[in-house]
Amino acid sequence: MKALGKALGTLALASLTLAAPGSASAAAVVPPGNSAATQYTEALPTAGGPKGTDRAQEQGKERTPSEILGAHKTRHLQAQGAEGRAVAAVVAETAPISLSRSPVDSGGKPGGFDHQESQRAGSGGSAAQPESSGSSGLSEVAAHATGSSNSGQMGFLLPLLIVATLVWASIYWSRQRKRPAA
Amino acid sequence: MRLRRHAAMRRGLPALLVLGALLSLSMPPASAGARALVTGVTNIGDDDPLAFEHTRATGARFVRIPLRWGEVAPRRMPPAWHPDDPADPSYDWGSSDTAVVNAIQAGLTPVLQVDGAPSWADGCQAPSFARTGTCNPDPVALGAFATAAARRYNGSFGGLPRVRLWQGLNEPNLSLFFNPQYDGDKPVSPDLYRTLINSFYAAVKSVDPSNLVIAAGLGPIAVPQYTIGPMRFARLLLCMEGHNHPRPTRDDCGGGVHFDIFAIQPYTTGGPTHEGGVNDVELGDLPKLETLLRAADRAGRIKGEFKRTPLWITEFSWDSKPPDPGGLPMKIETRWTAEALYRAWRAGVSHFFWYSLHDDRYEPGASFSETLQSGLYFRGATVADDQPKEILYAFRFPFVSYPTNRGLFFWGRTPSSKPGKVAIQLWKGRHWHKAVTVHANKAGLFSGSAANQYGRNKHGAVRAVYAGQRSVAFSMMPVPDFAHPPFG
Repeated sequence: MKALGKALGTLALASLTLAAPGSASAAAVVPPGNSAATQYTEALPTAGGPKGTDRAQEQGKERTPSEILGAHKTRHLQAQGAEGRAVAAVVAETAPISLSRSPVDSGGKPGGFDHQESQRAGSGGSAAQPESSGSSGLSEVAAHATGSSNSGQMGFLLPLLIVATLVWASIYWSRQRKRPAA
Repeated sequence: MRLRRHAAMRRGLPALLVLGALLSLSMPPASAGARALVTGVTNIGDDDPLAFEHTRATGARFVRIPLRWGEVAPRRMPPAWHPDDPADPSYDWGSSDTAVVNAIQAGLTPVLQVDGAPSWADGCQAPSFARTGTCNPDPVALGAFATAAARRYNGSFGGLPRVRLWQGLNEPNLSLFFNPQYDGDKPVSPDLYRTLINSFYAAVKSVDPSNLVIAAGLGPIAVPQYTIGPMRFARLLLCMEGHNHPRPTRDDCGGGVHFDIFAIQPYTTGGPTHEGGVNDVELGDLPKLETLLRAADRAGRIKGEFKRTPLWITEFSWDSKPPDPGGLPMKIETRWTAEALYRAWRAGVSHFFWYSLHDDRYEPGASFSETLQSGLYFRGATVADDQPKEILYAFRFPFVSYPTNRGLFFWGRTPSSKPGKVAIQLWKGRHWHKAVTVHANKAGLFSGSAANQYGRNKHGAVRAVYAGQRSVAFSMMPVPDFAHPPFG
């Protein structure tokens, strides 16, 4: 019970930490300047705050796929031929700058790039409704590398989980307090 | 008695399930047959007749031509003139006459997009970054100009051709093209635009009721203080509320909004499945816009020609690399172009206009993100020197194919948008092998599934062949969505 309480408390704190950048990017304001392009282009979320997509801002040395994706994933992509190499190259070119300094976690599947086909298209119940990107390794790698989570939308599940975890942790801790000393 | 009812229900349930299955099987597959996908090009950028022929060569049947009110009308309001008379000597129609004639001669259907008011028709002082003539133009003056234009191109004026399609202004949800957007915190541009489009509609229809009015294409995203997201703008314009289940607001919406066709310009910061924020409409968001339009139709908010208001994309593109070093690599853009057309069609879009015919001329020192290298052609020294990009072939003969649990799905449209036999071929062992032959419908659309496990290992490619023409091969390796600015 004690271990569970500790785990829940840790999870709650971790959830809060993870939630913050997402909510910050959801409120991102694209600095308009005089750039017409900013009225058409999303701000890309980064750990250092939102960045406009004006390529002129992103100076500095060219980044290699290995720097963004890690050596293992880069080799995996490049082994898939010309198209895999092209994907690795473009991911390296377009990844937000902050990602070039952070290692890429190979575990898990972030949201945003694994779009399941939905019935929302309203085109009728076609027998063939293909998945857009399925569960390919490329989708996981590219999603990690660009650090995007569905354009800042977390959906309702993560906040619900955070709230539920906090409530459970609070109840557990208050019960622990009320127990008489052994 | 209760037991008997339950038993009866249990016996009846399998029968109902079987009946439901039979009914679903008997329904026609969704269909390439139900709706067409017509393509067009926005921004020819040149008066050369060859530019219009190049447009036709992309498979496009429509061309959107800007009719810049501030350039056709006099710079200062004359003391006495007839602004609704196309023959008034104060007007200068030269450029638009040339463009309309060239379009018709190339076999294209012109869409005239009226925008850019003369300064004397502006209702306020626009911010410095906004385009000229974008500050709450006078609806009466707009109506007079629209009347003059519709009369000029009614098919019986001075030998000029008929123009039937008219678009009223551009991106009124962007401060770049329309002001004011807000009064304090309250969005005002939707109400102002409603007045303008109603005036525009009345004017165009008064000349010929068979003319069709397209509402201004909305820009794709919400940028706080500078743009209103297109979903929010559309809800306010149409007096609707609710995100997932839109419904009319309690007021009468000033009698409704008058247009025949709704338009969106969903430039996307990513790939064809990319979704923006809750009020954005990027490619992946088109279904929610379609939902809103259907609800507005049911509520009688849209006073137009059609019971089901068509949805058009009047601008869309990505910058390509080359020539933009920040553009989308050509191979990826070629694939995404075909996918964009497919996904737009699936979401209910009937007309898809690419922006533009050829790249902007490169100016040394200018930022690539401020100019557009999104043409279907690389820009040459002259139009005759323009060279087609690979994306042109995907735009002309769009074809996609995806492995699914139920076989190999495919969808496409013939280059001529005409019917006929289409062979679906698979790349195996360094050769192309025919998998199946299908028949494109009268709009040139075809789709289906081949009973085949091909592509599930993400290797290989599929293409379509029609009348000796081949689509761009569609790779079985998926390219996932990733963040990428549309203008490089």
